[in-house]
This record gives sequence, C-alpha cells and structure tokens, in this order.
Amino acid sequence: MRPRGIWIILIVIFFLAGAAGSYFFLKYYTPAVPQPPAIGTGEQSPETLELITVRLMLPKDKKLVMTEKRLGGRIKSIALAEAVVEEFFKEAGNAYAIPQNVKLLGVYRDANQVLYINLSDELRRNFQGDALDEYLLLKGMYETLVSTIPDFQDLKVLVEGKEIETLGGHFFLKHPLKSLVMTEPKSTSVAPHE
Amino acid sequence: MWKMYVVMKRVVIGACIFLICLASFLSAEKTAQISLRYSRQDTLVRLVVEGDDTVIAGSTTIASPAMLRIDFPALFELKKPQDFIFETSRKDRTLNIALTDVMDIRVYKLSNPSRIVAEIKVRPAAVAQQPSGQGTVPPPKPLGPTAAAPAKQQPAVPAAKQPGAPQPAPAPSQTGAPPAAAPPPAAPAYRTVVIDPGHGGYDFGMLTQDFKEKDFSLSMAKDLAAALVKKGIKVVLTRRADQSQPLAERISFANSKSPDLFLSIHATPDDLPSVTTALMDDQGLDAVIRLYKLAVRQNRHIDRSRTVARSIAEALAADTKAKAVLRELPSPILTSLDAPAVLIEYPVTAKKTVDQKARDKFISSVMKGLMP
Repeated sequence: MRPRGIWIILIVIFFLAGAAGSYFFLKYYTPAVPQPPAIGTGEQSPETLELITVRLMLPKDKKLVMTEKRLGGRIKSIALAEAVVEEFFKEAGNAYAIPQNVKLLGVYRDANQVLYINLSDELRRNFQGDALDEYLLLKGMYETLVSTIPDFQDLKVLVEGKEIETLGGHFFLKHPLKSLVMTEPKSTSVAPHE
Repeated sequence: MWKMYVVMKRVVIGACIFLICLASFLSAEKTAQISLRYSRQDTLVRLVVEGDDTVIAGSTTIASPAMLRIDFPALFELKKPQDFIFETSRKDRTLNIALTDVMDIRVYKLSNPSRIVAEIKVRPAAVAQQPSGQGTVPPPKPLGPTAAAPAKQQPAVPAAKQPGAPQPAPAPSQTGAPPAAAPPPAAPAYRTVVIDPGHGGYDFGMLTQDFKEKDFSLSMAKDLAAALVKKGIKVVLTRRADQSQPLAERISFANSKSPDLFLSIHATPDDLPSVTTALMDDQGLDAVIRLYKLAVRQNRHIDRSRTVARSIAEALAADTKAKAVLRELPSPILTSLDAPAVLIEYPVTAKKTVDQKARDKFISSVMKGLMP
C-alpha cells in the first residue's frame, strides 16, 4: 500500500511538472525568426578589385551637394550598392535633408537590371521636408547609386519590403525613379519690389 | 521510517496543491483594454481601434464591405461610444464590426499611439443628415445650415483661433455652392477652383510636437475656400476631413471637376513661402521610361500656371516684405492636372508664427495674387 501510494504521488508530481514546464515553454519560447536569404540575385556579379571613391549626392540647402567617400574591400556591385546606401543615410542630420535612423533592409536586382533598395519605415516617418526636399532626396539616392554602379537601369525604393505610394506626399514612389529624377528642378526668387 | 514517509507524503501533497494554485494563477490571462471610436465626414467614416502596442501589433484584421473582423492576441475589454454607428459583437479574442451600406474600406495599422484605423466609404444615402461628429463625445447637436462643424475639428494650430481673431466664413460645401447671402461679383476670374489640402490621415506631412502639416493644410484650405466663395467662386476641396487620400485619387477627383484652377496647399520648413508649378521637361527620356509617366496633361496649361504662380509669389513678397520662391518641380499632383495648377507652401519655421493673423495675411496675399 505504501509503495503504491508513493508511485501515485510521484506520477502526479511528474504530470504537474510536465504541465507547468509546457506552459512556461509555450509562453516564453519564441522561435528564431528565419533570416532572409543573402543579398543578391544569386548570379555572379562583377567584382570591384580596388578601393572605390563613392560620390554621395546629398540634399542640402535645397540642392544636391557632392561628398566623396572611400569604400574599401573586394566587393561585388550589389554589396557596393548596399554600402553606398548605408553611407548615404549615415549623413542624416548635419543640415542634410535626409530622414534619420533609416535602416537598410536589403538590396536586390531584378532581371531587368532594376535595383531595389528596401529601407525601413523611418524613411517615410522621419521625413520632414517640403516638395523640393522630397525630390532632392529621391534624386540624391538615384544619382549616388548611378554614379557608383553604372550597370543597372533604374532604381526602385521599397519601404519595409512594400511599394508605397509616396514618401512625403508630393511624388510617386510606386514607379522606378529614373523617369522622375531626370529633370533638374528650377527655382527663382521674387523680391518684394518686383 | 513510517514517520518519515508520512512527513514526505504531506510535503508532496502540499507541493502539489501549491503548484496547482501557482499554475492556475499564472495561466489566468490578462485582459487588454481596447477603445473604439469613430468620426464621420460626409460619406467617410473613420474607425479607430486603440490599445496597447503588443495587442495592436499582434492583431490581425479581415475587412470586407460587410464586416470588419479583428483578432486580438489576448482577451480584451472594449470601450466604445454609446452612439457608435455600427453593430459590434465579440467572441473571445475576436471583435466583429458589422458594416452596412459600405462602398469601400481600407484598414491601416499605425503606431504612436498603436491603433488600427479603418477608413470606410459609405453610400451617401446611408449617411443621415447629421453633421460630422467625434465618436468619443456625446451625439453632436444639430447645427445650422452652414458647415461649421468641420472647422471645429481642426486642431492644427491650437493658438490659431484666438478669441479676438476674425473668424473665417463657413467652408464651402462639396458642391461648392456659394451661400445665398453672398452677392456674386460681376465677373469672377475663375468659375471653379479645386483646393487640395496636402497630406491627411496616416500621412502627417511635417510633424512637430504641436504642429501637423495635414491639419494645418486643411485649415488653410478651408480659409482660402471661404475667401474664394465670398468672391462668388465655386470651390471644391479634395478632402474636407482628416483622411488619407492617395495622390492618384486627388488627381482624378480634381480633373473630374474640370476646374479653372487647382491649388495644392502645403507647408515648408523654410523661412520663405514658395509657389511651385509643374516642371514639364521630358527631354532625354526613352520610350520605356515614358510609360512610367502618368500623364502630362499640364502641358496645355503650363503658361497659365506660371502666370498665376508668379502673381501669387509677387503678392506674397509685396505683403510680407520678403522674398518668395518660385519653383518648378515634376510633382504628379501638378503635371497630371488638366487645369492651371499651383502648389503653395506656407513657411512654418520655428521662428515664424502660424497664428490666425499671419495665416489671414497669407490668405489675403494669395487672394491678391489670384485676383490682382
């Protein structure tokens, strides 16, 4: 009788321990998020063998200002694009009309040689400019990448992996940028006496 | 030995009871607080479901013209206004909102504060002859024939409506019919003007602690509309409430009204006001890129647009005794307009005040530019 009673108690304890363990496991265990595949199209991209001087076209004081940076390493063009975009957004603040805390989520290229840059939502949320600022930001991104990597045809900007209609409410972002940014904005002042 | 067995048995039973109590206590699920509110403007109803970050972030929504279903990750307590216009039901973690007479519904998940926003277009017949109201307040009292309610909704600039400041005339109705009392001038330069208050809804535009460009542009647009209506001009606004509206919709809506002038109202962080027209330069584009261009309807009106823009800029410069900036940009809201189109940006730097007096002066200058 005594040994039998002990076994029953032990079984109950094991059962409760198992139930409690399962409960806490399910409550606090979060499965590892699968990482997206490595950047690139899988095709072998041309490689850059030397240090590269990158020309960043940064929007500042209502115009694009060129700043040169040297990026080193034996890097593929798609990885170079990634490095260039990261350098571009590192310049946020410092009087540049670039949204702050923008993270690069990915760079891809499709079969038509359109480069996709996937940026975090801070691009949209932290943009604090007018129509010209928005235009210069898009133009600056495009011209920076074109001047660095000539082997793509167009640039498209994604936010959190999705197409969004507009960045700041003035220009379409659903289409590739080339057609939009090919023109030079014009600006003149009208003085009070005129 | 027997004594030890008895003690051990008691300890084990006590531990079992403790574990059972602990497990039942820990497994008790916390309930989340969910608030539901709404606002209504014409045929647009805006539902806002607000709650904790984790609850809203973990929720899933299924929207159809008949039903809006939101599955929350936890049990919840629902707070909703007494006069809520749709029927709601809840089951466990699911909130169902039965929709009626709905033409279109869009659902967004937004942060700061975490909320789910549903913008619902209802059929005109379904909208009772009530003015717009906020769902969190008691049912709105009937107002007069003027559309004063929308003006009260605008919290754009808290200090703007000062007691002594001149009150703007009632905003025009969507049909733009001028008030009966207003004597029409002899020959208005424009018969129909479409005014586009920039941004709206989840698109805040420029944002600081006490300034939202979307509210400011709407308030300015209403003030400008009131001034134009006084001159006997029919005015149509692309939006009359805080609602998101895609650029393409604004363009097609404006073009559908066949206006004589299109004015888009925005703000700029610069010190100087700017007046922008379309930049119509297609040179250097190949045929494929041309496909991406939505339209170049503005080609026919660009000279008139530039004339109007210069006139407004000169009036602003003369009145403010400072420079105004004339710009040309390939913004689709200008290039796709089949009418003279101008985008006006009001300077809202920290140094510059945006009180009612400054805004009235700005409106007055724009009016001088439009009707010199």
